Amino acid sequence: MNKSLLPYLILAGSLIFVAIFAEYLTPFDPYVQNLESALTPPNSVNLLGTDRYGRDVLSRVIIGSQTTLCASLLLLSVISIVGSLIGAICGYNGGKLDTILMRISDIFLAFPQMVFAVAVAGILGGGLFNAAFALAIIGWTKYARIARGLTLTIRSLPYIDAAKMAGTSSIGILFSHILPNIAGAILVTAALDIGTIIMELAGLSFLGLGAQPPTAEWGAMMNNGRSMLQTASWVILSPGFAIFITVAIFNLLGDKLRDVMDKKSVV
Amino acid sequence: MCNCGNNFLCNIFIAVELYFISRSRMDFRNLGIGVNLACVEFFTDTFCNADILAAKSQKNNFHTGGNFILFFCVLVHAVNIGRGGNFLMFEKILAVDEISIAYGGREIVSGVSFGVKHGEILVIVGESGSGKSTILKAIGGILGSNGAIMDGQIFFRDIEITNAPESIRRKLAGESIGYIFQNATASFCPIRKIGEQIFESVKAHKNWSREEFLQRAKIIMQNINLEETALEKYPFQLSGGMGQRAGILAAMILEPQILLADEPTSALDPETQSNVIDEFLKLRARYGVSIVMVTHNLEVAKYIADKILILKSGKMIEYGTAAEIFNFPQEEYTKELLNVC
Repeated sequence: MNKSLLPYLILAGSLIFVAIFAEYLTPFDPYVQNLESALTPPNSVNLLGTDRYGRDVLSRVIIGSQTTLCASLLLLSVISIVGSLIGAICGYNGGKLDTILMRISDIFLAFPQMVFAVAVAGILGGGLFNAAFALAIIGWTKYARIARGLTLTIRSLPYIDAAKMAGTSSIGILFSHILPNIAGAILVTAALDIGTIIMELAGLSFLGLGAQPPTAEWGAMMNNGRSMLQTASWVILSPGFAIFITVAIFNLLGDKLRDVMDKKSVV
Repeated sequence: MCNCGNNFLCNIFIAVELYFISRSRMDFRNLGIGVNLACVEFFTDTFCNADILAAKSQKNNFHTGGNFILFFCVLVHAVNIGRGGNFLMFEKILAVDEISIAYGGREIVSGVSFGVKHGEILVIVGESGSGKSTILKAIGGILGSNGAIMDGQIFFRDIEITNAPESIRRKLAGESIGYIFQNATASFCPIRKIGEQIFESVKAHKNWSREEFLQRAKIIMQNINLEETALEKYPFQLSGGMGQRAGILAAMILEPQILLADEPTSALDPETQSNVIDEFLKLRARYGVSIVMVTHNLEVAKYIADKILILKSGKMIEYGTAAEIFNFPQEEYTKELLNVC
């Protein structure tokens, strides 16, 4: 493995570790209300202070990482896998299926992603699943386009002809030769996309279309604290800073991954 | 198989006739002196045998005298038939009839016809862009989305494969028709090991275990001087010669009846070129495989070919036995090519 990638992998891995073991890492129960200590500024007990219901902000930020990161990564996995599969099938087979699916993707691409997601989530109603679904409906098109383009390049290479001449089935060629060869580019795109997805999910939650109270989710937490920006800024700044750090780490990881893959392809 | 009921006489006649045919290209069939003309017709029409051809390869010239080895082989096989043995003679393996191929609507090959018999080596010669590789791709069914067979027919044995559905193509590909690419190294997926890829292509046709595959692969690898470690390497770790041999292994592992070789020597140095060509002759001798090879190298064609097809701008200029083409070229273009050579 490339050593320059290691620091970013460690940072991203730490975030994922926190998200997975969040329940064991929280100093207080993130959902227990204590109105007597509401809006306590950061101190030695509540390191990031408390919110308007007296819940420990640090605990909610930690448990919120579970919701935000898991939902984002799951959503990203689904749209990248489904999108890549659709793109690879279209690129390899061509024909009517390609035309129909690519025109559908053109329709989705014609809308600004966030506006479309807001509209879909608005129709479906609030909730993390609906927000993720709204983003998935429009998110797969990007991966389908990339996978299709890469497949069109690869399918004319000699080793695809060789696989055909060895009697390998179309499905075999797709899964053994095409998808493994486009996986690198898809992975880099996905790594660069994690930040965007986190932002979009948090954005929908911020607008009240994502995670619903009392679920701790960074966007929803910012939404809850937006009226207190001047009086109790820690309530909104803590989840905001968490989003900033997470997005920055995954973007840096994506950038580095792209550099490493580019070097490999040059070699 | 001879069914004339007069095995001894028939076999003697066949042996003599095959000997004379091999020496002089004279066709005795029309003389009407055969004990059983139908039987002779059948034999002469389908004359080819791995051992006979191996002997021929050793002599490297169909017409030079002193063909004792050849005569001996013919005699042995004639006797063998008399005993009910399995004479590896053959019908036509591949027949291409008036084929026209277009790329993006532009005709690249027009009205080309030829046939290949069991154990026969046909070499398609022509300058760059003459449509040589296109013909092979059409036979292999890998013309791509832009290419199409506009006219004519291609038969593999009695199966028409001109525009055959994928299911038929897949069944024939690898198992009956092998393909060796110009750059064999590039014909392997760059991110997977050679052995893994060849085993996968085997699994598409046969229910071999990995051990059985390795056992069979080792035999071919020994025959073509390919190190066993090649199976554990990635394509970029192979040299040009090794890559070409790995390509031959991939094409031969299922022992196909015909090999389509698309300029298999053009990217190689002269020594490796000569080794690879010798490998083809050995393969033919060992497995009785027919070969259609594309090259622009007339020296290679002269060395290996039984029949030669000369192409120019997608049109068939001349088609005949290697001896006919090299000794008695009929067309100006062929003469020019030979002069350049």
